[in-house]
Amino acid sequence: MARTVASPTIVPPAQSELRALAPEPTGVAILGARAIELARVGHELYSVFVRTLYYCARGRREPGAILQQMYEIGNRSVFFLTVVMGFIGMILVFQAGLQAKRVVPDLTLLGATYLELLIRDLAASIGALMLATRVGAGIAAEIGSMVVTEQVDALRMTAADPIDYLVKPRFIASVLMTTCLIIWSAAVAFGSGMITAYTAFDVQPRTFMNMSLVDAGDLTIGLAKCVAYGAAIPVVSAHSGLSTFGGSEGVGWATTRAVVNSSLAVIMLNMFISAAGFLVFPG
Amino acid sequence: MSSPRSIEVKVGILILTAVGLLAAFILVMGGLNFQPTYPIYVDFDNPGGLQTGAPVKIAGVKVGKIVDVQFRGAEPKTNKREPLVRMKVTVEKRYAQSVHENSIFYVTTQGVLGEQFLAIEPGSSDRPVLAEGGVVRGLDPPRLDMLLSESYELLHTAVSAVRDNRAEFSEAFDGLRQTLKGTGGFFDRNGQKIDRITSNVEQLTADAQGLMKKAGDKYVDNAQIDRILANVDHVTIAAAKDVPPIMADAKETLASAKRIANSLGNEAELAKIKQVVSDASDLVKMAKGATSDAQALLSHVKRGKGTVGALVMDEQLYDDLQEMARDLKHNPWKFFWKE
Repeated sequence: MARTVASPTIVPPAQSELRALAPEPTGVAILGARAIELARVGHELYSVFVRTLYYCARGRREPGAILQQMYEIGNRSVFFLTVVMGFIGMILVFQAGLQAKRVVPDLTLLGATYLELLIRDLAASIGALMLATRVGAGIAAEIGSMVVTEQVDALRMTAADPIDYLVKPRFIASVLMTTCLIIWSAAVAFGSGMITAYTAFDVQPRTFMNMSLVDAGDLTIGLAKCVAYGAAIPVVSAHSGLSTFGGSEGVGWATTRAVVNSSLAVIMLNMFISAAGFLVFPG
Repeated sequence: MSSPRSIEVKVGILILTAVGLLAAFILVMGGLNFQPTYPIYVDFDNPGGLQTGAPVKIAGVKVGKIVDVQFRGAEPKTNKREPLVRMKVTVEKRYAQSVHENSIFYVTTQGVLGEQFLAIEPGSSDRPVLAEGGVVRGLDPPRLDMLLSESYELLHTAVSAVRDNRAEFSEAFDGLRQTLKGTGGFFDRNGQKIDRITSNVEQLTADAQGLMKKAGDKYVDNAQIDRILANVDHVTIAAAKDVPPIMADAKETLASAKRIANSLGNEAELAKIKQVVSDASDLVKMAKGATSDAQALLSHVKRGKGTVGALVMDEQLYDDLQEMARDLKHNPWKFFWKE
């Protein structure tokens, strides 16, 4: 253990011994090693996701655990998300209004465009990034500490898949609660934006609350993003937690990795869903 | 940690809030509208960027939406030019009374950069309401792109023309400048004259006006003129009546003269006539001489010379004769004897 702590990266003893035997990769080999590592992580993520879906359909019924996770993921995040989205709504409207004023001094459509942007993209993406920091870190830390204290191994000993026991309730709770939280945060961001527009640019709330630019396509894209982020965050975080090694410091690394990877997943999914949405609902 | 029951309540509240917000949003968004609608077809040649789902508004109030945009240019029906695009529009039935047959359908935008929508100008209320499924012609929006490209073309032509003919333009402008300068100088120099001419012309026109008025009074609004005209009229009528017979007579006379001339055509006749004429002339001369003798005689008599003259002209003689005649009347025997 002492040797592991001394080394700059956290590597299990078995691997570091193997490293000592094998030569360090250099040059192009580094690139290849990284690529193989990326492919392996991708495959593991895919495996976790598929198994989670499988257990959602075929696994044990435990509504208590799901409810508990819904409370942890949902209700405990409401205050945090409300504050963050409230401020972000104010900032977005203020900056957008300032820029728009330079181009066209006509802010009657500020609310309409802001609402479309919020529903299509910003509410889901910013909310999910915030949730990734809070929920992802929580899931990774919880599962990671169970891994390092060998509780997961104990589960496996009793022929119970830790994904069924640990990941599935979090997954279901996250999909439901992320959607609810993002709808709530969109409302909060719109409300704070409306107040900002009224105080800073004298745009009447009645004018600001203009839904003419929002159509069913925008709403579909927004809801699809909610579900996708709600599914991606627990899967990525649980994978980070399950691949924890190296004691309490390993738990810290796993938490960091969970937040970074969840955020990356959110951004990449955003790109893919936006592109698909643009193809399906042009304009 | 909270009790399981309170956790369930809190999670339920969160879910209900979110679902309620979503439902309210969808309702407000207008995606679900249960008002009964009726269709209208609006034809355009180029409706700009109007898309399916765009709102239809009367005076800014949303009354329906565009449900279908059909391109009909490919249908070879008749030789008549059909509008290229037909839009199916559904309008809520409660607004049907506001859409008349002479309503104007036009495309406009919301705000400066807003989305496009179809606006309806309701039309006059004395015209009947537009029937369900009626087809109307929409007012095409102004083609800003065409305007830009065409004005670009125009500007380009103008600019290249100016660039290629710079020397000519400068010459033309120089000439124009000199002309203007010369005209200005002329007016400067002859200002007083021109003023005088102007006032004279003014006077002249005033005089002419007076003259015209007087002439009008005298020669137009005058009964005499009317009479003269009437007379002329009569004369012309009479002439028209008389001229044809006169003309016929003249023709006849001319024909006779011609005949006479023809008959006088040969030499012998002419010589004869000459002879006759010269004889006549001698006769006339002799007659003249006789006449002058007679005249001299008469004048002689007039002067009381000669016996006849004294008899005619001397009153004394007349008196004597009268007295002798009276005396004879009273004393007829005096012829026979002496006292």
